[in-house]
Amino acid sequence: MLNARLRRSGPLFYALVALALGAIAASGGLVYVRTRLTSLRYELGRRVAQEQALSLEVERLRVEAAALEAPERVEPRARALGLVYPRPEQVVAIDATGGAPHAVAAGQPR
Amino acid sequence: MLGFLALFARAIQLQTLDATWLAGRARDQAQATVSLEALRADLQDRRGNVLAVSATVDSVAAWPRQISDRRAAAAALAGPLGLPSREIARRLDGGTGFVWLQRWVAPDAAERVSRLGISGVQLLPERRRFYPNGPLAGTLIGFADRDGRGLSGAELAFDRQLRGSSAEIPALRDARGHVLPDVSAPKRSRTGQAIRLAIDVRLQHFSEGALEEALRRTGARHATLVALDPRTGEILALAEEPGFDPNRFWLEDKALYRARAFVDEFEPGSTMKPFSVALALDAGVVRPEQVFDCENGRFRVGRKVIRDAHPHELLTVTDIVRVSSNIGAAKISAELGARRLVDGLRRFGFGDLPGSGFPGEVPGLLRNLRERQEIERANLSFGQGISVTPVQLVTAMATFANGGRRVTPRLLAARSDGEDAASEPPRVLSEQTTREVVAMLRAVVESGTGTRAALPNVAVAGKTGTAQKVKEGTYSQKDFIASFVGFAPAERPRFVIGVFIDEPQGLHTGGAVAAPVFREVAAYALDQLGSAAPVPAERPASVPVQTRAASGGNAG
Repeated sequence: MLNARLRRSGPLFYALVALALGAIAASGGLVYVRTRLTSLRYELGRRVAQEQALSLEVERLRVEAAALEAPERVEPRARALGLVYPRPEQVVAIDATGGAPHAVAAGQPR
Repeated sequence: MLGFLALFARAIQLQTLDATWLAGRARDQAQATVSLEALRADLQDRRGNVLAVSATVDSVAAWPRQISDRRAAAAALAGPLGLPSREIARRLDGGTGFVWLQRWVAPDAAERVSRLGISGVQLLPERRRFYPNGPLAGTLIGFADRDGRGLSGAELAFDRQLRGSSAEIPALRDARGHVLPDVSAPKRSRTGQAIRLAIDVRLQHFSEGALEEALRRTGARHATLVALDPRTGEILALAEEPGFDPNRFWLEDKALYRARAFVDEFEPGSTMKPFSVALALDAGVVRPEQVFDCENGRFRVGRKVIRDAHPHELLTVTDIVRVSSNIGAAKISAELGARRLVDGLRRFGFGDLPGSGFPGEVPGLLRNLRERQEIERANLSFGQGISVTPVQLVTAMATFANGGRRVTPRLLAARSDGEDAASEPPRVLSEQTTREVVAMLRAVVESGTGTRAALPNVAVAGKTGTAQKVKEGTYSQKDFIASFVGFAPAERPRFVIGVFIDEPQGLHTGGAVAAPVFREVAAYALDQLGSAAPVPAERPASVPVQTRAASGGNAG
């Protein structure tokens, strides 16, 4: 009797079953997408925090590098290595086009 | 069945009737904002060396009401913060809702505070401005406050460009308070634009060292040095001694914040003579070889008597500049006339804002004169009755070094592609007059009052000045400003340097006190800038000059 009923409403029954399965699959998909989205948000949050931590480290290292390059720090070390500033008599101006050094009419400073 | 119906009805209510209200509440609870504060950009020198840089550091804050045992907390924090526990306890007791215990703590101190885990004490990240070179160029660079606002110097002049803009990212917060950034197109904060100043950090360092030594040697109150590229107007060094450290500006004497080179006026004295003589030459009223009677050092103008430091009789115009005769300069100015003298000095930029854009720069003072004001005209010709700033004087001297064209002083480095090159600077003097004045300025260094500025292998041109300071309305007989303003190489000047020593004790003339500093710094500048500094491309007046150290020298 049940079989007879099913046979009578066959196409409708199968359509309903298909619809139900489709709805279940769509719901599952939606749940998966939302879960994945939340999971990606957590991942993104971690990455943002990581980027911020690295940025802070870069900032700190830039300050440190700039301080290490300061002439106030470099000069004593250069002097310790025997480097000196050129004395005025050691500096000669030359023409970039290859001309001779400038003649100087001045005598030694008094 | 009834239960099922009740559940069904409640579901209908929640999903339809109250849906909007509930969704709004959920959104309000979950919504958060991630604030991205823009990082203040770097200030750099012309070579890209960092002069000012920002970084995030921790500050220690406390909410005293949340601390159960304040005495114990103060004792625990004393070590990491390097403060007496009594002082910390005082702050905790005095505070209500929130108090800073220490701002901008070192990373290791922050780590130690964090490890203590005291409830009610927290580390808060803050932006801090660092000046890695300490007091180097402090007055020029200036400083930014704790909130990242430029308050003085270049930090203030370029505040808008350095600041950048903040941004906020919408985000969601979960039940545990974790912030989940919105994945849809996050908006980024915009870091400010780095500013490249024209100064050269090495020349600046050397100049400050030379000034420090000069102060020690002369016992002067203050010393200023300005170095400028005469072709572009770029300020290559601006040294002030004593200076201040912008890293700890709140602890420094506020009087030291002032960039005197831009804001302090003084009567220049004899360094003005080349300008009045140049105007007379340019007007054709005198010639370099023309002879004037310098009256043996004493000359009456109206009811006043003008004196020379050393008496002279007959001097050519060149010699008047060379030996710095006040009487000679006064007689030349009489040939020119008061109006033409004042108008000409204005063309050199005196009495007008220099136009560098430095905050608070002043125009100095140059009064209009009538022809019958003879004594005022005479005084003006040798630098009295006029006030100028060091930057003005050096910029005006650059006119002689730039073929008679006056440049505008600039704080920023010129771009190497020449894109920002301004139109050709205005001509103040003819090329012929400029050549004649440069020859006179060379004579000053070769055999005049400025021999101590001479370099053995490079021609130097310049002028000394020994100006009496005005105190209580009269010219002081013991307080002077000794100065030397010159350029090198004289044939193709690479830089103009002005040295100003305020109130030297003992020897006090520009030739004795300021010229040696010029010599020392000029030699270093030739070595450093001759080949290393970028020269703007396609600049018509550009004539590259390279330097080399002669054998036996080691570049420092």
